[in-house]
Amino acid sequence: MTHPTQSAARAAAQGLGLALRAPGLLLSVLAVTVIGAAPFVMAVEGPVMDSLAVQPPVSSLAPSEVDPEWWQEFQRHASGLAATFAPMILGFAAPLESVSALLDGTRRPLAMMAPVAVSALLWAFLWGGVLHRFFSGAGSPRAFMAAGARHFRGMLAITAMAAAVSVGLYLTVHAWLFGVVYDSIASRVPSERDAFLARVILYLVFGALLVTSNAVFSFARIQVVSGQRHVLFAVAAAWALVRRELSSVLALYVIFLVIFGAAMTAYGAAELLGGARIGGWRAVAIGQAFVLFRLFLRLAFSAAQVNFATSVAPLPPAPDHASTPPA
Amino acid sequence: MPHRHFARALARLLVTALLGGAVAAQTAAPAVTVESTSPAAVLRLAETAARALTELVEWLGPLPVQSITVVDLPWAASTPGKASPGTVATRFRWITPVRDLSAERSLIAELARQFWIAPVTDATAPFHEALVIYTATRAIHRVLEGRHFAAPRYVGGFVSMPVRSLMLSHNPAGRGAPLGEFDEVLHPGDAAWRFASAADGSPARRASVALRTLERMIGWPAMQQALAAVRERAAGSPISPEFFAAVVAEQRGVPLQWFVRDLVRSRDRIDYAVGTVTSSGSNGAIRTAIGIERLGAGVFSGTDRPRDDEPARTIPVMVRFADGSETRAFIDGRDQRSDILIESGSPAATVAVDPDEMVLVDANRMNNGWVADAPSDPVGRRLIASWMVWLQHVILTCTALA
Repeated sequence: MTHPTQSAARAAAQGLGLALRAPGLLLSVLAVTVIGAAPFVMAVEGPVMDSLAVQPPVSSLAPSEVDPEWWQEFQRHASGLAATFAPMILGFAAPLESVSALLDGTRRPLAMMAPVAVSALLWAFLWGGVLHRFFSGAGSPRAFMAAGARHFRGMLAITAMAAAVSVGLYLTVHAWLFGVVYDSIASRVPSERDAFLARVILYLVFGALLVTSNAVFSFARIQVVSGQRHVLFAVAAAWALVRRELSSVLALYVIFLVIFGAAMTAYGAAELLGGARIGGWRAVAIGQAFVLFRLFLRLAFSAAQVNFATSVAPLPPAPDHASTPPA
Repeated sequence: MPHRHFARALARLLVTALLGGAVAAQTAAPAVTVESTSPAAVLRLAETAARALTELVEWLGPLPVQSITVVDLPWAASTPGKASPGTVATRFRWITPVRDLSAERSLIAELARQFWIAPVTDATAPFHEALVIYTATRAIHRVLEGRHFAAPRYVGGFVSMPVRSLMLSHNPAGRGAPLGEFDEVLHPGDAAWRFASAADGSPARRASVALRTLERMIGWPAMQQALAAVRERAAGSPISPEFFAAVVAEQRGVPLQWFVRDLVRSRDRIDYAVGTVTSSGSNGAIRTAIGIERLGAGVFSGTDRPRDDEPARTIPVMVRFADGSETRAFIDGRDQRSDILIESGSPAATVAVDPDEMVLVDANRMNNGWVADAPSDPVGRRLIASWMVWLQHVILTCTALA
């Protein structure tokens, strides 16, 4: 019998290898991510450029620096998406803020619903193509598009269910853990370090719930691609798989979270130590490269999950419907 | 715990001997003692306290105390900010990178408060708080100039990540009072230890911005002399805005009733905006008509002369033309609408009301400008690209949950 860690590690290694051998897929997914963000960038660009155009120039600023007084004034009066134009967008703060918001359940401005909804729709399409690629090995763009279109409805339904469960968890469990429970602990511990430790433990507790939910819906997507037409049956089958192989599934998540954590640490350390050398446009390029890395990890993780699912419970081969018109 | 007491005692001894004593000998600033269990906190807070006190004493005159004790509050103690004569409480967070000077900013704010501690009445409390906010903000800009950065906190507020490209006090030459405000000075706005609320829209906040506006008009040397004179003459009694204005008027020989009436006492919103800009004509003879509007009921008079006299040239309007040339006109801030007509060789490209950012009491400066065609600013392009990267990160994180 294979040890859970071994099967997870093997699946992770295979997933990373498959993602490495699919640079075209990675670049396509990056292109879709950028194109999905572009309309919202244009919406923010106008107010920012108009505001800067009438701003008196500050000669004492280095080329990589921003006038904080202009920024403070802009933030005070910005609304909608432009209100998110804060220092957190610069360099390593960008991924740190997004991870921090995930951990703390930070509420985003209502205007952020639009880009997130558009991206959810795009990913509902991408998931079909991506998982089909890793499941069947068919790497042609035509097969990708056909699979994306064919599974779009199923993926969208799973995305909606996953979103509902996540929101439910944040509104109930997260609110309780980081409200009553954390406040009670933090007021009793003697030092800030102990309070942080308590918070980390609560992050782990809540993270375990999020991971379980994510695992169920991720494996449900694989079930759909493998031929399961009914979404609820796919979710039920995924739930059974996660329950049966819980330790291996968790090990798989831990492996990828460790990789992501290591990359985040390296990025943060580089920014702290690199100083002005990684400011300006270089910081933007590094930030975009890190987005690419996150997409790579997402693809690799999906490939690993497909490998894992097929290794523990062989699924029927996906019929290649590339030649049939999308449903 | 014994080792903590020992560390506190040792820190006290070292700092008093090395920093406090030396500072006291050279200036009239009080000696500084720091109580903290963290050696890093002791050094940083002591150095900042000594520098800030030297600066503040030079600006405002001596303090009535011989020594100041800085207490680094333990975890779970009430929020820092409270100041009593000779004692200030601050908090040095566990994870505080060297570029995160928020503890220092908090400390300077509390030291500035020491200079205005006095019995206040309901009528004078907001102006007292305004004096604290104004001097604290100015002292932070001065003491930490060129070395403190925005440092947002993440992960439950435990992890600080200074943003190196966002230096908070960069000393732009010739611009007078810096615009930047600090959370460490303003929050919590409704704390019981304040003379009056410093929440958004409070009389104290308005008066503090009025003081900065006045500094932009009369310059820092005149403002500093006025502050020192006000403090000396008040001698620990409540300071009203009328008293402050009378001292400044006496020093400058110009009445300042408008300052108290329009900027401090009035609650009306002051907001100037570029209304309409039209350029007509051709062949190098272009007529540009500009309409400047006063949107709020509030007024920036800038003078005590009656409006029936000749219009006061109180607020400048800068017009930049397409050929790169530039001209300035002036409007009377009391007028509901001011029309400016300019003849030039090319059409207007940019119009800005109060381009030097003097009227800081203007509630919305984002409508102070007009651009025919916003040029693609290089800093703007980079910020937009950064925002796009941030948006992708948010999208990736959100779609990971769904």
